[in-house]
Amino acid sequence: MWQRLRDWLHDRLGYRELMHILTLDISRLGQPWRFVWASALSCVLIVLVVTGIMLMLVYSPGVSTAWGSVYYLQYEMHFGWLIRALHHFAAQVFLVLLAAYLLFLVFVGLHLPPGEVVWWTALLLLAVAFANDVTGNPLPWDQKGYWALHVELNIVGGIPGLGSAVRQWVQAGNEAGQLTLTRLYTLHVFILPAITALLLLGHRLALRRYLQRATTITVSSLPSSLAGGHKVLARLVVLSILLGLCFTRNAVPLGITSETSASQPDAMTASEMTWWQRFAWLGRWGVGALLEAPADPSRDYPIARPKWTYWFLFELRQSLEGPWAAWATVFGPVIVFLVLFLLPLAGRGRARQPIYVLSVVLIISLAIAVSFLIARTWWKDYGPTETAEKFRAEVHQQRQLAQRAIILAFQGIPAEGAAELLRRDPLTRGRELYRTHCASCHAFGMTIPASNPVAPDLENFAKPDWIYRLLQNMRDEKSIESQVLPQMASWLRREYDRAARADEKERMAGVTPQAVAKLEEDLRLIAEWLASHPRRPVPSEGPERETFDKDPSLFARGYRAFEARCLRCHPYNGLGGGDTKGPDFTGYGDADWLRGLLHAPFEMSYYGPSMVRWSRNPIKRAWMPAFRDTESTNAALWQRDLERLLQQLQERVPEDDPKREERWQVLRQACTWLPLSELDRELIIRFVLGDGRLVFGGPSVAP
Amino acid sequence: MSEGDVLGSSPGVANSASSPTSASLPHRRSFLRWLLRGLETVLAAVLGVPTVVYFLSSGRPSTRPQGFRRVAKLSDILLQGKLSAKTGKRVYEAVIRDVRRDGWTLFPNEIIGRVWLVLDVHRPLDPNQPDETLVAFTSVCPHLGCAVGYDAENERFSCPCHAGTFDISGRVLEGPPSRPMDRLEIRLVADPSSSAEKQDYFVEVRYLDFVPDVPEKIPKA
Repeated sequence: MWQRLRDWLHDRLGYRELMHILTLDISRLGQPWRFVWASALSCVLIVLVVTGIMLMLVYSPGVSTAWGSVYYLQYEMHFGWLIRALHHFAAQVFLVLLAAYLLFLVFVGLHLPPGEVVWWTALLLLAVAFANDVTGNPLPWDQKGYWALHVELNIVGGIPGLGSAVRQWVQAGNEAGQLTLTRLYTLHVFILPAITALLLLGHRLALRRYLQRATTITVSSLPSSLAGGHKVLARLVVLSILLGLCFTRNAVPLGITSETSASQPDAMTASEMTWWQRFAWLGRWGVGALLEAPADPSRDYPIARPKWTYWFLFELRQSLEGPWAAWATVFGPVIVFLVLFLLPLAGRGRARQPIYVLSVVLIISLAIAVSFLIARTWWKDYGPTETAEKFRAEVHQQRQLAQRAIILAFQGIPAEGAAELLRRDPLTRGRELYRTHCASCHAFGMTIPASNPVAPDLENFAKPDWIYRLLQNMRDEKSIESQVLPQMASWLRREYDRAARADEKERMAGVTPQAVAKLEEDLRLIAEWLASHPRRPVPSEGPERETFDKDPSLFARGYRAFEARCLRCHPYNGLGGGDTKGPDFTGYGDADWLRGLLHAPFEMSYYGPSMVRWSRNPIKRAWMPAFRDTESTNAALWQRDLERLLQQLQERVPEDDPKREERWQVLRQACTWLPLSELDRELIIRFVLGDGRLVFGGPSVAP
Repeated sequence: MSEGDVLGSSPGVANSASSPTSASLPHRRSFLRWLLRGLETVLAAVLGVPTVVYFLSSGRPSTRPQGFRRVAKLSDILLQGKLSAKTGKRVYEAVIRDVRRDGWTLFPNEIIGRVWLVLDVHRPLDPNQPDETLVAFTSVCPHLGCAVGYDAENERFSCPCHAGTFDISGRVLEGPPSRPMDRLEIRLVADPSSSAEKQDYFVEVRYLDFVPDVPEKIPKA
């Protein structure tokens, strides 16, 4: 049945003649060990093609989508990490095997006539493989690929003659971008593979003709064994090496924890995964090929390197200076290539033997030189030297950024593109913005010192311990806190004094003193309550109030303590306040409260009223300025509001005050604003609150 | 050039003769051959099975919350809904917004669907049992899922793709749809910002997708 089908097909297609031309059992010629190359190379090539097609199922060429698709492939698709790693490493194994194959061809003299075409096609195959390497490297559009491409395009552009035209065509714009990526993609997945296929066909045909013609092969034959199993063995060795490489940890791990933690998405916990899921998502543990942070031209990348296969050119470029550098990286390789290409033409007749010796010497020295240069770059970056250590520190930093980007991507990438991940990350961009906008006054723990520390350290802002420490620091008259909030500080010191006196009395009366302990307990309770960013309304009277008074919940207890100690000055949800108004504590320390504070710290519900009293204080110190989007269409409206507010504040300064004018001046100075865009403000707020979620543009649907 | 041929032939005849244990050699060779073959099969499986799994998988499935969503206010329907003169009903189009995950991309606030709200102005409204007075249809056509629009002139719903038309109560008038327009569960929640004498309500809808082109209304899994 099967035979009949094949016969019928042959009858209609005549494919057997074609197969006869294409295939040649080289092992029948003896010395099978010398012909395992075809087997090894073709199995790597098949891996490359199959995994390449698999990658195309997910990959999306485009500056805003490429990184996201590769991220998705590597970290979310089942076995995506393996497919990508196979493709990544197979490309390198292919290059190395091909180079070794060229060495082999020269050793056995196959490059000399009548083997010119065998040699040329092999040489061109190597060149195309290099081109494929260089076009594939930037496709993930990560920092590594982007900056390598950036430099490569500049090198190509610097070649006299065609250079700038080639660069223009590949780049298709003023800088590497959307069209560059689609062009590289087309080259990588279609044009270059098609050329490779043609060259392989040519190589195969030429090799067949050569072997048909050759009666003897010049180099002594090796013993054959394993009865043709050599091919299987070659494949086994190559595939095992490839698979071994795939299981190395080059990628950035997702930061998987064994237990669910609040800051990480559920899917990142390992404990709920089956062994099969763990294997399918092994990339989340950092196994497989590296994916760096998304390409971002505005973010520098101090560890820019070409792929290691190009390190010999990189090294040449670095060690030479002046016009020679260009020669070394561009014309040098071209000349070497041309010499190698033309070599067989010289090896006719009596010149065959000397040319054979010459080419063996040439190719060996070339191999040694290239390996040496590659090793030298490796030594520079990874050897035990100081510069290498510095380099590795930079690498570590970039890997951390990459990890952050990948963790953020897990929660979803903005449609604007993956570069936005770090630009809208509170913990990355927010921290940078804090450094530029806030750190002149506010320190942030040990990591960000303040240049002029006149305001509280905001690390762990609005957490119970932070609030309690703030209060305790106020007891010291010289502390930053008591200088910034003098009324609050003096009230607190008075409270402590009063409690201490009460304790003294009790001690005299022989009762265990409780007042200070009660005060501290209340302060702790208030701190805890405030740290919960309370916004709920509280009944002020009636039966509801009676049940509230008996409510043992933290909210009720906290509020009762707050009511007893603080409500006289600090309003809460429409209650309390009064003339000596302190900031309104409804929702204290949450994002909304901070938004209002940043927008107008001089507002009546923030520090406005206390500012008037403070302006009587002789210490001249700037108040926190407002931070607003000065480009906003509302800016003019805000300016009018501000003037009205300033007037209100100025009216609060008593008329009999002899330094009235001076105080007005102070108030005017306090009511200033500095430019800060809305996005930057949100980033800073989330950074201060330790909220690591990405800031998406526009209003978002409540979760 | 099948591998069987290669393995069956003995290419290195000249060399095998030099081996001292030539008698046991074919036996050992066949063992080695099978060993190599076996190893290659294992390796092929290690590479092949994940590739097939990868080929068949499509990454993280997206889940959508199926609870009630606030789509409009009752006053919106009364003020902006198109009046159907024949039936005295008001027809209002509301959008459903949600987070949408598309592969790796997250859209934080996307319109994921639309609903037609039909309010019978002449019936009294019971906020706890609004079904008699207020009806919500998904705009997804029960035939093949095109967006059903409201034809105000003829006071009926019509689907542009295959010319299916429905009356204002969602019944099929003409065309290929095999079931009426899909009604969605509805609920009213008092708007606290409105005054007691002019009580306004939020209209909340449980937005679901249904299997197209079958006579029964079956929610998509």
